[in-house]
Amino acid sequence: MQNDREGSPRQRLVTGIRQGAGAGAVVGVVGVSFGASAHLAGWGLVAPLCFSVLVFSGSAQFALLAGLSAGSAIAAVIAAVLINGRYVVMSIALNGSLTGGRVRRALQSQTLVDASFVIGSIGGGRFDIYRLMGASIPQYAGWVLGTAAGAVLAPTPELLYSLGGDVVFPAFFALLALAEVRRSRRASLVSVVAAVLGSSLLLVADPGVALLGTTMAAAVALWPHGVGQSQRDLK
Amino acid sequence: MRLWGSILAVFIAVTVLKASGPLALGERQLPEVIARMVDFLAPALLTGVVVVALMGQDWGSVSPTQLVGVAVVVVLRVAGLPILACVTLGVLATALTRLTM
Repeated sequence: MQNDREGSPRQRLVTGIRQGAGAGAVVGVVGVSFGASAHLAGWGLVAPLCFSVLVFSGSAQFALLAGLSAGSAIAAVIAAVLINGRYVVMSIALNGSLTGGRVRRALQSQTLVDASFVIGSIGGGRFDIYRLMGASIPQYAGWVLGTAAGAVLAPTPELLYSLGGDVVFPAFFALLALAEVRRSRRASLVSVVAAVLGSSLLLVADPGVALLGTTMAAAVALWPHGVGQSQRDLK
Repeated sequence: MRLWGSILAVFIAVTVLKASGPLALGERQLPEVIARMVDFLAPALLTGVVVVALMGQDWGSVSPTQLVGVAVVVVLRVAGLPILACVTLGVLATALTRLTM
């Protein structure tokens, strides 16, 4: 996903939209699953749709849905917030590439989602905010339309499962991870450390904490040069 | 009311989380050592998302048929197929595996 910032803001936005189209399709399928699950839980059509329009976060929305179905609203909200704790790290990472004052930057950062974070990366810890925003547009559309379709059509979770719909989300992120891993030996090492950290943390913490913990694998970047480092890292 | 209150609370929390970088740092730049780590956040985070999605809390969500699908997708991508074809074939592989089990 790496290359230099090229073209006008409009061109970079369009590039982002094009690169985010695949993610948009995947997010749409996951959105159908969310809409259907919410409908099944008795949320109707308006609540899941408003939730998707306002929050645009699959992990948080599924966490709240599962939490409310299980019982306490406070526990459900805490779970939904915890699972998005990674946005603190991503938002701090993104901030240096944003422009304007605090409020303008805070507004720009609202377009941040996982796949866009990768698509918007231009290397060296920098991001092209226009490409990132562009990549979020088809994903937002896919998420909202998918939620609506799921809530209206209401396919059963059993049907989605038998059709293999649950594979789409991890498979798409595996492909994004594969592209990153191929970037350099050090990125591969980071990925392995993240897998070990994540799978270990899942045994002792909730998924949100485990996910946040995997970001610590990026500390591999601080290891001395020559450890798991290729020529591309040195650029 | 409980549902809408929860939705509103999550909306506010996620908005604040996403804005936390700009709100905390403003126009200040990250120290060099942190900036170096930022470049490797994507592979760490993406791997984390895959691991959490496939395994779940206490590894309770591990599904061999789901793993088959994801493995097919990755192998086909390494072989050079387009992303959409990889995902479609991976989903098909999972559906067929479930049909035969």
